[in-house]
Amino acid sequence: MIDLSSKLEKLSLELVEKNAHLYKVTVKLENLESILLSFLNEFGYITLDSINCRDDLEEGLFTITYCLQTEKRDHVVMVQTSIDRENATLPSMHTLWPQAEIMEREMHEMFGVDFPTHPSLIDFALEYWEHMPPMRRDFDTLEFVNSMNPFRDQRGDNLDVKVEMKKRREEKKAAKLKAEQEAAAKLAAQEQQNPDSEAQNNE
Amino acid sequence: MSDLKNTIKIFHGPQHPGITGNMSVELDLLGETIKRAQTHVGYLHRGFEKLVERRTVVQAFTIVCRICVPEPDPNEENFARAVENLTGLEISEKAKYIRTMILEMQRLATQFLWMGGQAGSIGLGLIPQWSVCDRDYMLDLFEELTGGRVYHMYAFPGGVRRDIPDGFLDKLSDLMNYYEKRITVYNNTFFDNTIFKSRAIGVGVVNADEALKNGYVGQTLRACGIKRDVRRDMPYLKYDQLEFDIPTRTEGDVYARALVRRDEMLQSIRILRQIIKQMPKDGEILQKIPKHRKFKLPADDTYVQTESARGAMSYYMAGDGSEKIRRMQVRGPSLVHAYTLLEKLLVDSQLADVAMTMNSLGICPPEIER
Amino acid sequence: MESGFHGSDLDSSLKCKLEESGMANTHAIMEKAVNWFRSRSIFVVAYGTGCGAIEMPPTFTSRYDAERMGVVGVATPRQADLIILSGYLAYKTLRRVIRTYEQMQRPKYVITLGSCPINGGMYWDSYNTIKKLDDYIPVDVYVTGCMPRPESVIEGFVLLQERIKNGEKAGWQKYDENLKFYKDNQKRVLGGHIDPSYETDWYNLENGGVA
Repeated sequence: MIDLSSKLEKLSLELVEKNAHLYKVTVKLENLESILLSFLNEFGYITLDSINCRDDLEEGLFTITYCLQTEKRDHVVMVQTSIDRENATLPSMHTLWPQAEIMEREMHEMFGVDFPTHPSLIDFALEYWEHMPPMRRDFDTLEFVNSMNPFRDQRGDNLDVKVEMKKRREEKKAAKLKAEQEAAAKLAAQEQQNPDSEAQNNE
Repeated sequence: MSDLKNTIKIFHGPQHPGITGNMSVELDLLGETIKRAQTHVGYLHRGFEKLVERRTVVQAFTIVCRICVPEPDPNEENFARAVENLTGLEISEKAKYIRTMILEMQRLATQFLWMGGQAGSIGLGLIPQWSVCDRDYMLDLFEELTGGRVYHMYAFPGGVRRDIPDGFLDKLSDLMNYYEKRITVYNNTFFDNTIFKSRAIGVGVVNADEALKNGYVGQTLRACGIKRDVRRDMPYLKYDQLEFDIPTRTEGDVYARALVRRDEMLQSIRILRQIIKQMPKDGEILQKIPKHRKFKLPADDTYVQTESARGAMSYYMAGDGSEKIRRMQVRGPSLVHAYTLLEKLLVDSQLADVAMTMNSLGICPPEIER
Repeated sequence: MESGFHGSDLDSSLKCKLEESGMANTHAIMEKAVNWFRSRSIFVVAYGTGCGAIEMPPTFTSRYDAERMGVVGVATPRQADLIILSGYLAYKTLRRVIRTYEQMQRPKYVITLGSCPINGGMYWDSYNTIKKLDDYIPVDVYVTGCMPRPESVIEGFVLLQERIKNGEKAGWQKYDENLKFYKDNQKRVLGGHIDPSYETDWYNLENGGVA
């Protein structure tokens, strides 16, 4: 790994060791294509294991991770880059790795990332989908689900658990209080009915 | 496209007895020869990665095993290990042994189910009757150990949820003896079967040159002579201390993949026997997590790989400092097989071989689309 | 016999003929016999729609052996009496399931496995699965659990057989009677993209029923 680290230093990149089998390098978007090409052709990372996309809504970014492996497959290098969330565009890698075609197709559908040079940006898992790409964090699943599929009426699945627990606890408390009061009242009533019984017992 | 002029278009699936789960392959046929194949998935898409984003670690743990139905345990292991990597949880020796054991048990069970599918896809009706029943004995042990037949929800971040019950290892040992005997029976009836040989030899040959580059995993790689196994190359849990071989063949066809799977079953039995011997008597099984309901993941990301019964299964996980998981992405072993490889293999093959080829690649749709 | 039996109702003309010839009792006896035969030969279409498909091989093979109940798997919906919807249904699958269901010959029955078709199960907040299956297709027997064990699946078969034997009103009769309700729900959730486009237009049956 020292080998790769020194090679990357020449490109002024830093290799971060995550654990014994996992390394990470962060690159800029404009260098992404050339760096991936040199990973493939010069450093020997011939396998693309997966392309992952993470939605960092707060920073307005998509974080894209290319997970690469060598011929030996004894470690993974994550090549990470960030793209703008609005007008998200990425160069397609299907010419370098054929399996990138399907991974990018999925990313296009789930996140709305555009690949201008991609050969087939057709549907992957969804069908006739007309809303926002569903894996984006600002897509409100709960609202969408409730509008499409209401719960069965008789069931209480749609209730908020925290509110219900609080309600139940308060009910329990109230019931306990009531029972105590009743018991106290009963005792008082008993004492009133035969006030001399206790006195007799004490004797 | 001019050569597609006289072709007939048929859909192999989703409602089809010869399909491995709920997916479909669109085929352009000239006579019985396939000229073009196009895979369609999405019939089982549940949006797991979105569901997980809305849940805490404990809540997400119960649903990750449902990502791949025939083998839930590699998913649990991946999820647990990803959380452990992110938070720096250490698991005890005993928990490591139990987790290795359950992964190997799952591999055996999945291979028995695969055997049924592979034999059924070429019309051998007897083998599924036997092998699915043999798999059931393993499921009984799973039930005793974890409480669940199919979904176990057992490997929790920080260890495993329950200790091994009394007498469990003896039962497992007996089952291993039984399985070893059964595999010789399967050798005679299935692996040396003339029908299977004449159907499977030379069909669905994977090109070894492009296998590594295109990201093929598991038996598909090992059947064309490339010795790659996550258990050996990036050892996790106890695999670096256990002795096992990685069986390989060089032919790369359906029959070679079947033989590799059979040899792997024998290796799984060998691993399980070692585990039974080495299993520590006492030890912590689950590390106590403080405030496990408000268990926070740091703002970091990780990538873990586990060797499932069909190849390497990978998880990417990222936290953001809150209780919820920021992102979890699954890369199942059959994602590339179902698209890049299957679409290539089916061209110029026969319609009758589609089900057999799909089965031997170990294609499992729920993990492709999650 | 000019026309076949439809569910528990014998053809009305046949019934009239029997009554004219003073054999009104024969009608009831024949109906009972037909229902008994029917309950003992249930053909299941091979369509694994969800997780529950993993418990189908054990149910149908030697250990649990559903065939002893007369339950056999068949390849095409045209020959099938029963469809087992084994778990959650994505919208994409629901389209195919509706088509498969409509291709099946009457009488036809539906068994669902798992909690998901009842009220969403653990996918209650998933954007791609439905919650209440009986809004779109009538369900005869729900088998609960995640996964239901093969024993529960067999119990579901037995329950369905009892219902058939007793001549209870089945789901397909409800489907025919409340077609507008089901079709409206299907159109609402699938957005009008229901395959195939050449199906009978159930809304305009009196106008010839051509879409």
